[in-house]
Amino acid sequence: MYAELHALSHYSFLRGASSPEELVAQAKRLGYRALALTDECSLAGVVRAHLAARAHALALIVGTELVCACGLKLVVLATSRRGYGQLSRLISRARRASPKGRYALDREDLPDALADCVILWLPPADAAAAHGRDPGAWLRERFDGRLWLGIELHTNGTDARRLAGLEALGAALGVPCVAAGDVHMHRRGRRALQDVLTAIRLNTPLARAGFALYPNGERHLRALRSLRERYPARLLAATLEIAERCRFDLAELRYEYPEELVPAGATPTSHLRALVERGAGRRWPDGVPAPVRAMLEHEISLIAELRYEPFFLTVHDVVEFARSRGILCQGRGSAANSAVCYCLGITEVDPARMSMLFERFISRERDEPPDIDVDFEHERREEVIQYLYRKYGRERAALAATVIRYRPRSALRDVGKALGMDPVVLDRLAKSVQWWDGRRVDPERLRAAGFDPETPATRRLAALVGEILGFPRHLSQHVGGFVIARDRLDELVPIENAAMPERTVIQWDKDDIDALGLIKVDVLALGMLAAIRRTFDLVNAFGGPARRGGPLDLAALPAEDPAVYAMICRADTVGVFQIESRAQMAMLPRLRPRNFYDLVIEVAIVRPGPIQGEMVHPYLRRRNGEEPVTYPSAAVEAVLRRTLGVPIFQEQVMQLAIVAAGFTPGEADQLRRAMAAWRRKGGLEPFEHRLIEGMRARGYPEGFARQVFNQILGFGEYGFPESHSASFALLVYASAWLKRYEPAAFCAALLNSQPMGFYAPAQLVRDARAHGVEVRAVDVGTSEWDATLERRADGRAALRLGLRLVKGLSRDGAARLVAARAERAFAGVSDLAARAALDRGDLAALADADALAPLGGDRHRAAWAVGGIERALPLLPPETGRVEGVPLLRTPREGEAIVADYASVGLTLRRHPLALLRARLAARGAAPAETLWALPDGEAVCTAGLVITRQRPGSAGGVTFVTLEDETGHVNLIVWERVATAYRAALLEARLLEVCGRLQRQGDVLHVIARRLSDRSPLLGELVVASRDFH
Amino acid sequence: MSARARDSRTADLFAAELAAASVPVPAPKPVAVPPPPVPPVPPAARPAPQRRPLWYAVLFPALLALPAPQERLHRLAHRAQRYTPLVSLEPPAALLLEIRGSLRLFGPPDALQARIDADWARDGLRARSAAAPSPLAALWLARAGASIVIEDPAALAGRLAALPLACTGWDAPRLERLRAIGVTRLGELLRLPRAGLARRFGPALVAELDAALARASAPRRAFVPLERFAARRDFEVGIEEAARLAVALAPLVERCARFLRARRAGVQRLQLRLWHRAAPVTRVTAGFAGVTGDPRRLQRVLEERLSRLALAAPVRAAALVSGPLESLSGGSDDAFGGAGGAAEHAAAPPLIERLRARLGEHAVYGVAAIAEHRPEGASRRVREPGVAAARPPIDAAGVPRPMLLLPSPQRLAAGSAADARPSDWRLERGPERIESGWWDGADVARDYYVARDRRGARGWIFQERRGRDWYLHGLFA
Repeated sequence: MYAELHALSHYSFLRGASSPEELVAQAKRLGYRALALTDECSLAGVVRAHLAARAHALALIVGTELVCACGLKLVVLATSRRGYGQLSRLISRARRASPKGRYALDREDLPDALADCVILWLPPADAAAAHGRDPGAWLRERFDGRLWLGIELHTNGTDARRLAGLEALGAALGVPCVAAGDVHMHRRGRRALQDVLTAIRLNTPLARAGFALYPNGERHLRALRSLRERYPARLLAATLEIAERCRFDLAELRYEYPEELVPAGATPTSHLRALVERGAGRRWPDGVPAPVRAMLEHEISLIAELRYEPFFLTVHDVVEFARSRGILCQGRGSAANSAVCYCLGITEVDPARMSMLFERFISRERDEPPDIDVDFEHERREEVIQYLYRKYGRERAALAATVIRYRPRSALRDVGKALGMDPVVLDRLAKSVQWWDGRRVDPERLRAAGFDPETPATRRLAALVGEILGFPRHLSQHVGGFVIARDRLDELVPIENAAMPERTVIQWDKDDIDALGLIKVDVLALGMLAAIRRTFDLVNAFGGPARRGGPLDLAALPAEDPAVYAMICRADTVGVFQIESRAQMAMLPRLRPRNFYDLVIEVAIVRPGPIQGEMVHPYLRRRNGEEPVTYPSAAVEAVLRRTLGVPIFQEQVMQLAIVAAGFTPGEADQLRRAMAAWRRKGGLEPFEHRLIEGMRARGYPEGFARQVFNQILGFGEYGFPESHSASFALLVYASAWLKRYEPAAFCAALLNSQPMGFYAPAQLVRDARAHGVEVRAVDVGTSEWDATLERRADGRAALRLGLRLVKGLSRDGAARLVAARAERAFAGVSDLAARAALDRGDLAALADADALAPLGGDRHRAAWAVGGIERALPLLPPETGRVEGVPLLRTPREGEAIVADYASVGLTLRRHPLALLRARLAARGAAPAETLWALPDGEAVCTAGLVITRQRPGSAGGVTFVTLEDETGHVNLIVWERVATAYRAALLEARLLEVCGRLQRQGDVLHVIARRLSDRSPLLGELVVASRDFH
Repeated sequence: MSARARDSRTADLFAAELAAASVPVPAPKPVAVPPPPVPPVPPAARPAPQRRPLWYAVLFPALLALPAPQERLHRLAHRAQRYTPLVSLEPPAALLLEIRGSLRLFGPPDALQARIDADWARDGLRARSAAAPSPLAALWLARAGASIVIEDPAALAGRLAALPLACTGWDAPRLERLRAIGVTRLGELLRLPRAGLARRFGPALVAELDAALARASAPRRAFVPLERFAARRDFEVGIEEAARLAVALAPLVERCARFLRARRAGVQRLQLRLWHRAAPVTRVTAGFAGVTGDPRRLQRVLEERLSRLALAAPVRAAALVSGPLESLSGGSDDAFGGAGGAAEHAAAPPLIERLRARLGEHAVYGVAAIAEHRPEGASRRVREPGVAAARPPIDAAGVPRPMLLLPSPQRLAAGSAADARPSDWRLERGPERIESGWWDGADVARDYYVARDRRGARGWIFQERRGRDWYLHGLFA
């Protein structure tokens, strides 16, 4: 019998060639007594190994392989919970002392840190000689009684000598010897993959990897018979002796919530209740309505029963911190949309405003942690993150990891490079994903991509890419999932440095955390929150019209304003959260949202899930009364009534499985996880049978059952939960309201929050002007860094563009400019240059932006003036420079000015460039966008415009969506794959695109189906040339 | 062209030849390798310093598409020297010719321009040309595609004014800065104040404008062709023996060595051409194991080559032509340069050269160890012996490797043992398992043993892990 004490999984990145699950299953199959997972300075794979070991009833030992700076190589195994904690802390320490992905360990760190661990010493190959004794003696002195000398034999021709030498060394030192395998793969068959990983790790082709490769495939889990042939029985028996001592089981880990949020004298429950009552008083000054009161009581008792109070208190604390700093935030997720969270200020979604019930916001049956994500303003989230680190300390709080895994493209690139293939060819192949059918490399598609699938080289590539897919490559940080522990987090799981400074991550990802019942709080970033908060600030500072009393904030926005919905129905939504995308805009006139819940549906329905599940059209038909609304049963009606019998939200699918197919809530949750993963891994088949049989047994027709299953397939990983949709819908409404009533402030806030959203500043400004906002140019005399509001003669707000738009202007330079201007206005360009201490680059940037116009005349004059300014000499007073005559400089032509505006500020306040080209375009037969609305459906048309967006959504079956803009409006193009292929260069590269095709018109939605595309960008270049055509 | 290279009266014929190996050395005439095409201009026709120069500029757009246009441009420059001694390169694709002095010979400027243009056209080479009193103006006009001749400097400013700024070939940042002040044509630039321009764009810009307008002189660097050594010697009496020939060539070799020394250069290759009265030319190439200019080494290797030569007929004349000149600096002359053993190796290159000269180029080779687990791939023949060997992994230290590896493993007859081990081999050490090399289609999976056969010879044998067959792969000393 045997226990393998030294095995690496693929969590020893680019070393191990098997997953922890594969290692565990194979060890069980071979009849091993136990398996130690000993990834190098990492516990990233232990949760998966633990789950697999539990499923296979194999004893798992948790350990790690460590190499000290001096070269000393050890395997450290945890004997107990204490030993595990010591191990985890040591790994944390070694990792934290090094940049991401590496570790640094001194052997002097070891003795004190590892009191409850067993040590395997792995001497180097030549250690049998005398100089091997020094570290041996050092180790024995410190770890006597729990130190073994590991002997690893791999049939390399020196086994006999090595065995004899190391046994002699052990005898001389008085250290017992033990057999081990240095396992890198579960089966010999992974030899090729292991070689590839080595080559990738060393960034060298296999043919040049040489002795860095292992000479043979012996580093796998070997059969017991084979081990008996190689090792003396005493060495094998020693493995069992050690395995007996390592009694730690990962199931012993207990996660405890932080406690400090509960004041002395209170219990978590009483404190939570006090906070909720205080919030309820604020929300309902006239008394809590009875249904809400009932909901609150129900929720509080459920929270208390499951002992989730500390979680809610933690989220509340984060939100309170953000609020104290003026950082706008909002929670979402099933638990967020509860009455409790509304009272705690975690969300602004009034439970009474929703037509749905959140009775299942957390589940009593499933032992699943509650789910709350909190979005913060994207530019200020870091403050929140650093607050969490500060408050709990880096030993207690860290971000969850995200395991970055091989995806088809990266797999193809790395494997191909290891095989020595031409990087240019690989790159081309990797960019066309045709060869990838979603699950494996398809030889036929590879052929279509120009590769002969029959050549051995291609076959090797295809096979290895298939094998390496899903292998972890490195740990990255989760987008915002924080794990906080009551005591030391680093005794629960190792903590390491992330690539970003000031960030630390644990070695476990979201799934690991779920599996062990740890709780994470998701601290996410959302640009729209920043834009909304900025709009509030601008409006509140400017002083709004009299119709509003107090300062504007999320809670103060008037609800359900019909004018706002009317604007949304017109798809007049540039800049509005979520519903500004092209697909959303195309849906709005069909769905015609009239109330808040319609927005919840709108946000969720324009998603790949419902689109691929073919739920959009049935829903629209039912909503427009073109199809009767029916339900196969009352139970199903209860689930689907709010969406007219069509499942649109993820929760509905799960509930359908429960009420119609008899799933338990736990099974439904498994279904949800499987839905998220099936596209990558498959595995929905068992559910298919279970679901269809279950529904048939309950009297549903097979057709309905199939339909539900197909909808589940379509949902896949794109299903959108209603609980998230509700929180998003609130921001949709808020941003739409601001756009409708405060267009200048809203546009300024969007400009100041860039980059975010769907549209560039040019489109945002164009849209604001179309809504009557006066937009004023960047001007050194008045512009701040950000866009600001200026009061017009009629009292309304005008938007002054900010210096932030000026390309090439440094932030520091702009700040000095604003400060110098505050002292007194600039007398001229040289005064500006001297007092703001601007360098030549900043000055030229301002001249290019036409921002010096009030001081230096037109762009050409300004550039001349700026060019003549000598480097600032602080000792000389300004304006002592020589006086120059004004030279003969040409005034910029309109076309030149427009092109220069775009080049510097990214937008122009002059005419649209296409207005200048209109005569040329008309001669070519291209019609202006607005004239298309007068044409009937199906008409052949030609038009041209600046390309604003190109999108090729994965769910759209190869269709590319393009939006063109001319001086009269927008045109939306649909480019089928065949046309896209034929006109690829024009489609991808044109800035000015001309299209001929057929008009498609459905109600208020207009598209042009492209037949022919041509790149007319050279016309833009001609704008700068003097020509009568342009004037 | 330098005076030395052009002087045809010197004893040596320094054939001025382009470095390109593809350029054929002109066919031999009875007396001498022809000199480069130097224009037969009498000294009096050369431009007098006080006379206004006239520059012909020509641009070859086709060259811009070449990956390495330099070589082609050099050849074109070489050809252009038939019209004027002063040809100047304007990389990557233009040439400048000072043609004032050639007018007397070739006629008025537009006739000469037409004549030179016709020369390019004969090659099917599209060319854009212009002539003007300053090289820059000519170049800019040519770039702008204006095929004109301007002789009067006073007319330059007017003619240049309409040209787009891009024809100056200035770098993008400068053009961008000029565009920022609204300057897109030369005329808009020329009317700006000089002092203001100098402050903003530097004095170089103003100087360049002055040069273009022929207000200031703009010296151009003359094109000097790359050199090779080429010399010829005629023999009054035909030489019939190779040994005598070597002696007779000694003065040529000596001159060649002097030529190289003067340039601190060496060669890796010498070419010898031997002319006979009634037989085709004999060509002999001698190669060296490094760059060398040492006369003894040159002579020795040439002698070795000649000693293997059977002369078809008496030799009436011989020409020695060097390969491209290479720098001697940087130690590249020693193939064994670098770490240690310099003294030991000092004599090796000549030895190897002599062995090769005698046995053939490929008969002498080195063996280098390669970092590779498969025995077949663990060593390789290399041209130069002594290349540093790959270091074996520590694990493999002490693993036996045979003195002689068979070119391919020899199948051994299966024995009666359970594992089919051949009965006449007794295993002494092993197994050493080697599984590697799948990536190039030659995967091996073998267990190697040191074994002794019945006569006591020690062999390196292995068993295929897949086929279970046994093979002999090497022999120990």
